[in-house]
Amino acid sequence: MNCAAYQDLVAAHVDGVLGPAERQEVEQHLTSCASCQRLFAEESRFHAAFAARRLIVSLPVEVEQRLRLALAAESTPIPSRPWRERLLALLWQPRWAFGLAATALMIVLLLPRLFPAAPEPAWFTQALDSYHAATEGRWSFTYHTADPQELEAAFNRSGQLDFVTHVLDLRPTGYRIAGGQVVREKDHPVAVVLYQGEDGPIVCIRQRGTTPPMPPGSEGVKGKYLYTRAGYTVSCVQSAEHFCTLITRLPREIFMRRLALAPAS
Amino acid sequence: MCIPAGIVLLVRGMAAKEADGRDKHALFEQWALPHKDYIYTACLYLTRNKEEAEDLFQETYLRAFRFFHQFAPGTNCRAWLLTIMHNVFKNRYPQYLRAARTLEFDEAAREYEKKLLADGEAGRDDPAEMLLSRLVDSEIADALRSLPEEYRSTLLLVDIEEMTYEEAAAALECPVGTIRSRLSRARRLLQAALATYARERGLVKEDVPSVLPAKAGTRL
Repeated sequence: MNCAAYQDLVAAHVDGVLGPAERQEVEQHLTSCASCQRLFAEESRFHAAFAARRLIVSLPVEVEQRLRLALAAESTPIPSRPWRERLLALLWQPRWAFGLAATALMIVLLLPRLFPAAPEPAWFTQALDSYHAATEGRWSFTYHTADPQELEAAFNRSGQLDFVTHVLDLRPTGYRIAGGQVVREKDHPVAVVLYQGEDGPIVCIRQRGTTPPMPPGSEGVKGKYLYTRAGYTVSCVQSAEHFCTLITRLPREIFMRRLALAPAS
Repeated sequence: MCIPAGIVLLVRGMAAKEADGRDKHALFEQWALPHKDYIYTACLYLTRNKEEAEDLFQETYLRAFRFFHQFAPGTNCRAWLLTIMHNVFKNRYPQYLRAARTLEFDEAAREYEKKLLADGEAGRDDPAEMLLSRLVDSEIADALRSLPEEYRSTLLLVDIEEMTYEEAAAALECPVGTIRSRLSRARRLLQAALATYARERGLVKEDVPSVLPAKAGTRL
């Protein structure tokens, strides 16, 4: 080995990464070359001093923030949309349209045969009839007071009812009484009160007896439950000798929130 | 009513891919982001310009994220990132590669090197490690940045970024033998550049030839 060859290898020698054969050759050369020995010593000292200087510059915070934003944006393009959306996008193509429409039609036609709808409870049909009669102006109300106590007294004084009734005060919930009436339902009297509020009417129906059995899908306990069907929300609550049915078109959650504002009766 | 098996498989595949996306972010955070300072430093030394360094850094990491499936966890992630960075650098800033080699530098450096190699004359009274202790980081960085690109890259990857010779050879796409000889020369050239800085600042008295190019580039 000559000096020029060693000058090319000095870094690897200093770093200790020479192979055994090369190292032997290098050491042999150094024993007879004072100049390369000095070079090795100087390079070793310099390298140790240089390695001791940590020349790493910290990444500025704003550059890191920009990177993180860009990385977050990398995951938003189409391939990583939620799988439900992607499935819809896949199915929602013109070539599938006819097939989807035909399938949907078949399902619509077949479902009622496969799963016949449960019959509506009789009390629900009755409540619905009263709701429509009261809200569509088919009744000319006997009582026209907005005061619940006054209406309650009028009901109980009338002698038409076979139970002592109560009239809910829904004013704190934004509902005021529009009218009251006693109607005969088959063989028994029923007290009907119509409330009006910003979101539409609520009809309260009271009659002697106990609450009907809880239909499937209702929520609550026996004697006090909520039932939703065909866009109507109905609450049934048992009182001493009669039960009260409130019926409205408000969604269940809103109706419950409104009732929560009413004072306990 | 039963759902066709094809739809079930399709939905499962999509859900798995979505989970993979989340995993990719977590793994990238775990493997690649801890090296951010090292990569940023390399970008600074390569481009000699803060704005360009920031752009190079951002592009390197975004490209690394896009190709993260090619990274084998457990291998040297910093070396992998630096290889990407070097490729981005070559494609994006070819002007640095062209302009890097300056005649003045080569001639002056050769003269200094000759002295250093002859009998260690150039740094006899003020050895280079003494110079290092007298210069601040930004001056050392300037001296490093003044080196021609091929020497700067080699010294940067091995001595600052702590890559092995083999990893640096892979990143710079050259044989390991080239890395050895370039690194040997790069360290001598750096000492020459440091000596010039020290002389300019009156830290040494010897008449050391200036090895720095006329324009040393933008400081940090």
